[in-house]
Amino acid sequence: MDLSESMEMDNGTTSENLKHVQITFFSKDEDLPEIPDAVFDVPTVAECDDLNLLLNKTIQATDDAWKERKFEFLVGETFLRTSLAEFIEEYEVETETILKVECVIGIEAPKPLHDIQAPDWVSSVQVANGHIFSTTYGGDIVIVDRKGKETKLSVNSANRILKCSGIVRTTKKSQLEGTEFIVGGENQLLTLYEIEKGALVEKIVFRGHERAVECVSVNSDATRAISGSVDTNLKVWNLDPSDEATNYEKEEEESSAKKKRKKDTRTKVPMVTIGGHRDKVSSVVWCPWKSGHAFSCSWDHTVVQWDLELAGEVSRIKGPKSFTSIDIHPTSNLLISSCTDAIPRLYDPKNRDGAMVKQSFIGHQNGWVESVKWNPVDQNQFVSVSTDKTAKMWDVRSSKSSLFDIHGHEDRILCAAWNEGLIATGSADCSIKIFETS
Amino acid sequence: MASTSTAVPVRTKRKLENGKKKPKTPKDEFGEKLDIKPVIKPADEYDYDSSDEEDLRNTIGNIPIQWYDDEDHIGYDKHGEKIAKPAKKGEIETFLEKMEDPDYWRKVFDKQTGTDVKLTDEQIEKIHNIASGKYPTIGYNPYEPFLDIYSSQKEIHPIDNRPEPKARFIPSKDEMRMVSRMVHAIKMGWAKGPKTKKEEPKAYDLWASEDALDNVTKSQLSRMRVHMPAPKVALPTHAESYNPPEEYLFDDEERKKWEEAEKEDRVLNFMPSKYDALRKVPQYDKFITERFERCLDLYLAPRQRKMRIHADPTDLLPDLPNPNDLRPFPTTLAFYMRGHTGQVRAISVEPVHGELLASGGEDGTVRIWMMATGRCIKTFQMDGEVSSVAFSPVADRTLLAVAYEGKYVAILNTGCGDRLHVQQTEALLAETPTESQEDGAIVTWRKSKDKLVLKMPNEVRQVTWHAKGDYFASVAIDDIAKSVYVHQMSKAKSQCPFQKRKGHVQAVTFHPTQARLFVATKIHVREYDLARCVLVKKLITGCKHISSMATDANGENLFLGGLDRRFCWMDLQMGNKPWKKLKHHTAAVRSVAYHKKYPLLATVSDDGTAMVYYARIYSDFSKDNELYPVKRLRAHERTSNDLCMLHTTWHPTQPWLITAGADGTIALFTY
Repeated sequence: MDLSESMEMDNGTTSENLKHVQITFFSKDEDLPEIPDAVFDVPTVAECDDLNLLLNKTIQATDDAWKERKFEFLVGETFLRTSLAEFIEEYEVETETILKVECVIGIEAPKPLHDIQAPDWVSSVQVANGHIFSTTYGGDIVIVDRKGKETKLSVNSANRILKCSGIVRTTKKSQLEGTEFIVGGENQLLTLYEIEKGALVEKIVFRGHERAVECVSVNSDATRAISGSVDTNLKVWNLDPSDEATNYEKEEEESSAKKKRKKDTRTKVPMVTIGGHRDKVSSVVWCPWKSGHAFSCSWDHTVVQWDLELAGEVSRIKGPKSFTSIDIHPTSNLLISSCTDAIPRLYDPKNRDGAMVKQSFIGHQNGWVESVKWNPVDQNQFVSVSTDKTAKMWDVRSSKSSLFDIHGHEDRILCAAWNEGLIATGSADCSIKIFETS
Repeated sequence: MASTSTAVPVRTKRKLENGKKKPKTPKDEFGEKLDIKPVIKPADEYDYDSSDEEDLRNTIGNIPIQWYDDEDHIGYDKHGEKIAKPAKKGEIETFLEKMEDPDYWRKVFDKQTGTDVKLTDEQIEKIHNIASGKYPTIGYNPYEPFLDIYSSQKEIHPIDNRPEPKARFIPSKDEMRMVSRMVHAIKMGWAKGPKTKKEEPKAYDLWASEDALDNVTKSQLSRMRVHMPAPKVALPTHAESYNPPEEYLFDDEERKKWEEAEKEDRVLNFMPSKYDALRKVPQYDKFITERFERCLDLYLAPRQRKMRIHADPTDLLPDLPNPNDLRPFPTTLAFYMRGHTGQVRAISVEPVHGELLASGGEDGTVRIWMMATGRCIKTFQMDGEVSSVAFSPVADRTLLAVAYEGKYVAILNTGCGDRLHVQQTEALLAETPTESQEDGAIVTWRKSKDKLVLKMPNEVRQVTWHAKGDYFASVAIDDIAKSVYVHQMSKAKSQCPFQKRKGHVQAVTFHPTQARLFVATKIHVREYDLARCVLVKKLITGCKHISSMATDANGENLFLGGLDRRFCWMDLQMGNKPWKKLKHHTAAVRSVAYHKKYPLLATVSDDGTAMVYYARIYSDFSKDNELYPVKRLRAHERTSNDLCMLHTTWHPTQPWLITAGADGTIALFTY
């Protein structure tokens, strides 16, 4: 093939003393034009850029309208990040047969969209309905829309530390009005707020935790919420507006209760309390494939799958360290976790051998990974944020190096969210950064 | 007998032979017939008749016959005539004879005569008999009747009838004479004893002592055993060669230098010189001198064997387990908690959940932090620099004891954590009977909004709680007798248990289970029973200046850190001496902490490092406690007054270490 020869000439090396491999390109992407299934004899010193050049030229030869694009190359299940020789050596790829290289259109780097100054440390962020919802340690709720318009709302009790949030219900037309969300914090309460006329209205207060509420998660039909706390318990709450069974009224404070009812605030007690962890519950997510199941992770080094109806444990993954965060992808059902170290770990909770780490992602410098979040659209991508002030975008198929590193925060990043093509990160430098991904 | 008998037939045979051989009489070289006959003819009858003698025609006697091998004759006869050698038979002749002569088999060659002798039948039979092991004589009877002269029967009569001679009954006169002569000689003193053998002078055995090791001194023996050969003479180099390469030869400058140098200072004691042939090399004139100097060297230089131990330095080190097997222990710095403006002097973690961390600093603030995120959630402004903070060990009381400058100790309600507990604690503080105090009390208790304040007589260095949360103790900074006070919260009372000064008290710790108090002075630790008010034990620590003290969960072990960089582990059941003394820091140890759940121990020092040890305590006596250093953690910046890490504590549930730095930060180390 003259192209490969020309490429060799480009490399400036003589072809005699170099190892060559035979490769062929293919793609599963239907948007791409036909890739000619020619076999190329490529020197093993070739790297991604060389392959890109080769592929682009090949396509150009058949398709004149082709514009040069950046490809990523997959061999088997793994991204090619180094030279072919290093890759072959590391993964012990057979070189006697023709190497099939899958081409994927390279994703573009996340574009920084907005940098929002929050009044205090950002404790949680959520992306929903074109808005970014975040809570701060100062008790503020900051809502930003896609255009960067900022709405700062303050919860009524002063100096209240909020630690977690969850979106309950959103309106259709990407408007704030009528959005319900739930926040929890250091005062051991969870509160469900609704935005009415640009102001927060306290709808329901959930009482029951004995220590600070660390995490909360709302299920997909917004009927249940599950929360975890420092007091090691998980509590399930009924969010159904028609539910009356878990309502709670203090009898002796009849008058104040009446007042509250006037203000349309209800107090609820938990439906179920689940004890089973031995230390702080740090993160909780609903099981995407089985309603009534949830996963929680704790500082006691375990991730547990719970059957909430039976209030019992289904399975338990023992991790190496205290977990700080977990997330389950809604389609691939894989569980990504972060510990009090720099390595996000991938588990397969559906597998019997769920305790086996499927993949460890090495890249963060030191400190903790504070949070991991899947890209709900792409089942291969997730983001991790760390106390080393960086956020990293990963592809599951490339565990040795991240796709992109997002720098910019000046202090520890505490939380992250990825939804609707937006990555939001909140940090201890009192800022929320929003990035747009393709 | 046999010889005589054989001799006779030989004679006859020879006769026969002679008769036979007559026709083929051998001829000499001249072809003349040798007449032998005439030799025999004149033999007279005497010769034949002498039956006793052998017919020795040949008179040479019994000499080896081969002496005549080279002669023509084989001897001499009686008359001195030569006896001619019979002609030698040729091969063919012998063969023909063998074939033709039927008696060939019984012919024997007689060397004496040089002729063949035909054996008679009688002789042949004899030979047969000898060969078959029979008696050679034919007709010999070995069993002839035997005349029995001496029979086995006892005879009553003597065989001969001679009487005994008289002499047998008379003493011998000759003997008597001999004896009397000897007696006389003895009397006269002539007689001498038996002659002793004269020792002949022997040659001196020079090497006799070599083998006998009896009389060898120890040094000799050892010298023999450990033979030390003389050091070898250095091998000659190119310079010594008779034809050295050019570069070894001296140029003028070098030669001058060599010549000017003192004999002792010369590197080479000769001048390299070049000869084109080995035979042109002159005699080496320094040979004797050189040998002599070598002898002097050997004689003057004492030889001593250097005992060198070939030990691998790694073998000398104790066998430490792999730190990876001793996990978990803190390894990485997670983050700093920033907020204090001066030194952070003391930290304390909430007992059960470990969510909250309290710290007190030089800036006069007490701060409550969230452990997981490092967020300061509350700040209390005190009236002076805080020297010590301690969370109440009882989980449902949100109390914090704070010692600060101005001679105060405060019991704060932190107001953080479980709201129910906060309210209960508020009520507890409200109930404290501070009003019922005597007027002359040294320590005055005062109640304010959410705290109790104790006005102390002296500045307080440290406060510490008893495990039950009712008693707490305080230590004064000054070196005074009444430096230690024990306070009881429920009664709002303080008492001073020690009236006498026993040393400058540096730290106190309550026994975790019993009503006992450990009091550390600069070099000793005393254990007091508070209920009975007696001294239980006095421990000799080996530290020169104790700075901090910690106990394990059972109160059976004490961990001490000293300003002299030392760390001591006192096992209280193993006497009053330290079980382990370590010096891993290069500056004063400021604080020691032992983990409640994990076998972990940490010491922090002014050198900016925290040492983490794996310290497993076995209650079983048969097992030795284990102490292995596993990690050295670095954090904080040194301040100008050479202080770095001031205090440390462990997280109650996680293997996490928290250190307070003089630079105003608190560091969290996680596993």
